[in-house]
Amino acid sequence: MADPISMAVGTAVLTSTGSFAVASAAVTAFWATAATVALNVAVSSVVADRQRRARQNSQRIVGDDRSLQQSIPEPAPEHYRLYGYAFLAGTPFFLRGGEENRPYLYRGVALAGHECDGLDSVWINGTRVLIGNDGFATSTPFNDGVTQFIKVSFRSGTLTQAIDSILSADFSSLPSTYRQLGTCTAVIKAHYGTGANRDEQEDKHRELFGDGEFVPLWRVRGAKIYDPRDVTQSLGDPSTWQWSRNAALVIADYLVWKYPSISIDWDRIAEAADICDLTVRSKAGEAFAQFTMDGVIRAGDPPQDVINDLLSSCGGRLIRQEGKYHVRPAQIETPVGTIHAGNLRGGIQFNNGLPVGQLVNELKPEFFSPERGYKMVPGPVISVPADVTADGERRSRSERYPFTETSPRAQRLASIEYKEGRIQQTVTLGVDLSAFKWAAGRTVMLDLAQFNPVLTGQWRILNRPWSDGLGGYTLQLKKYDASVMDFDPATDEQDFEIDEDSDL
Amino acid sequence: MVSAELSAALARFDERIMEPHQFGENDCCIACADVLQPAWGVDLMVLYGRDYSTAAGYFRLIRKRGCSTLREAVALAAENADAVAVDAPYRDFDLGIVFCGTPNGVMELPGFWLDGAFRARSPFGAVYQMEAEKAWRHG
Repeated sequence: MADPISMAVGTAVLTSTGSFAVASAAVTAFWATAATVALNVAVSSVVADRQRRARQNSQRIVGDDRSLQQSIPEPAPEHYRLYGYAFLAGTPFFLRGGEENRPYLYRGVALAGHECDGLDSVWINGTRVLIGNDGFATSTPFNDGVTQFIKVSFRSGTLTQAIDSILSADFSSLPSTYRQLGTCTAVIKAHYGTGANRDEQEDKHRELFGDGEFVPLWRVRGAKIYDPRDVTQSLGDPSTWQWSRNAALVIADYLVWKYPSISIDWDRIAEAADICDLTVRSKAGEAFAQFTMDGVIRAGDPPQDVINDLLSSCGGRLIRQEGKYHVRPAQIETPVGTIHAGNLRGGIQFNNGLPVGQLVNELKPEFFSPERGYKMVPGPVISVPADVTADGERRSRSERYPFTETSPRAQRLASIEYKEGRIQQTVTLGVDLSAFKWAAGRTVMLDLAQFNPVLTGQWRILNRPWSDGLGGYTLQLKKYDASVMDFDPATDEQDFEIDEDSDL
Repeated sequence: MVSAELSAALARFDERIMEPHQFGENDCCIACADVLQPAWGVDLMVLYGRDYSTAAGYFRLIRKRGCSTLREAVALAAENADAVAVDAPYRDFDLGIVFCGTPNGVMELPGFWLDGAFRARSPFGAVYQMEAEKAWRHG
């Protein structure tokens, strides 16, 4: 049997899903990654896009016959935007292994084409690896007290960054100009495995890296973004911005990134950010900001989908008012005014919505679970038994929270979603100029019981276009109930149990 | 002074708009006719009957009376009840044809005037309109 460390690299095959099929032997899998440049990243992506990128990357490979001496002169910064805590594999720009480097494999990846705040952790084979200040692993099994099997380095992606420290130290042939300016990168130096003989080395290797591909995952504190509440920050000077996972700030940053000429109502973003920052507690007593956003966005992702996913992280709405955009996160609303019969212009159209029997009474949230290596997993089902009884049958729907970490956060969001989904009544009516200052997203009181008792109480403004025909505004309203925000973790938060048999 | 029968009919109208729309049971014509029956002392559906469960079935019935549209059917029913056409200002329990917006455009509905608005059952709930395309008064 050949020396595992110097075995030839297995041929990787790009499958239709963009992943790589490799030989099952651990050793082959470990080294096979050195030949696979275009690895899929742990983010949602379009298959065609992946394949296109794979082709592009394969053309950038500077390889030799051994296939282990590969590097890309400069990593093309992927058009990713990393927010909050982003969890991804990255795009390789440097891969070295083989006989001359044994027992080490070097893997450098580009994480983002913008400056990031820092490295939170690296995950290997489903295990979080603790890293010391010197870059070496400090936690078992990657540091067994004798050998430090992992060393990592991280560069945030400044325009002045130097060559990576691991690459600089171990590859003197690399020029000092090998800097990947403006690209956030991480490099890992991995030891194959120790042992007195080949079998022991392989056992150690499996303990460390498993049987699959060697694809470390990086949890990164992503982009520094503008916070209008911070007087030390300037919108026009990104060097003053700070890292944040505040959902409202992230959404504003995404809008500006995607649509540079867009006008943002920063005063309202500041108000929204305060709502997102409100501290709530889990059943276990852990305090956390109620609405955060963590994840990776690709420039090619459909903006409408991205915005909807972003808004899901705060139960919010994107609102355009007077030519400017802002976010209104879920919150207990105070009405901005009251509509009486005297305010009406034209008629009233009341829509009762779906019959009770057609409403969803089981909401199944999916979110990123730290307990499952930041994979998207189904969480506890949100349901009210009385609703199921009233509806006569179970009606289920899944709801994805692709930018939300942890079960307590996802359950809060799903609870809001569930309750709002049970409220279906809408009203369209014409109103005089008293609606001039009312913004979409806010709520008003209806005092129109003379028409029907249902036309009372608090309603949310969905839209407020001007109507020349009416000489006033056409308001589209949806029934609002502040109790949608009720969530007592002691009674409402369910335990999140990991299904170890799940494929997720 | 609203009679107990009329009061009950109005309460039933408010209930109906919260229930699913159903041709022949809970549609715009039946909901309006059931309020105006105690007010006018006439059943506006008497010409057509209530033996239908679809829109097509409704139109089959009104075509037997020579009507091709809901507006024509309501006008014929009003005429049959000895009602006369009127303009604003309206009085309580005047009958009117009002507009209702739908995802596909605008539809016409029969409604009755009460406390400042024509009230009509729509396929989605109800409409309350201060103006009518056409209106009739009984008595």
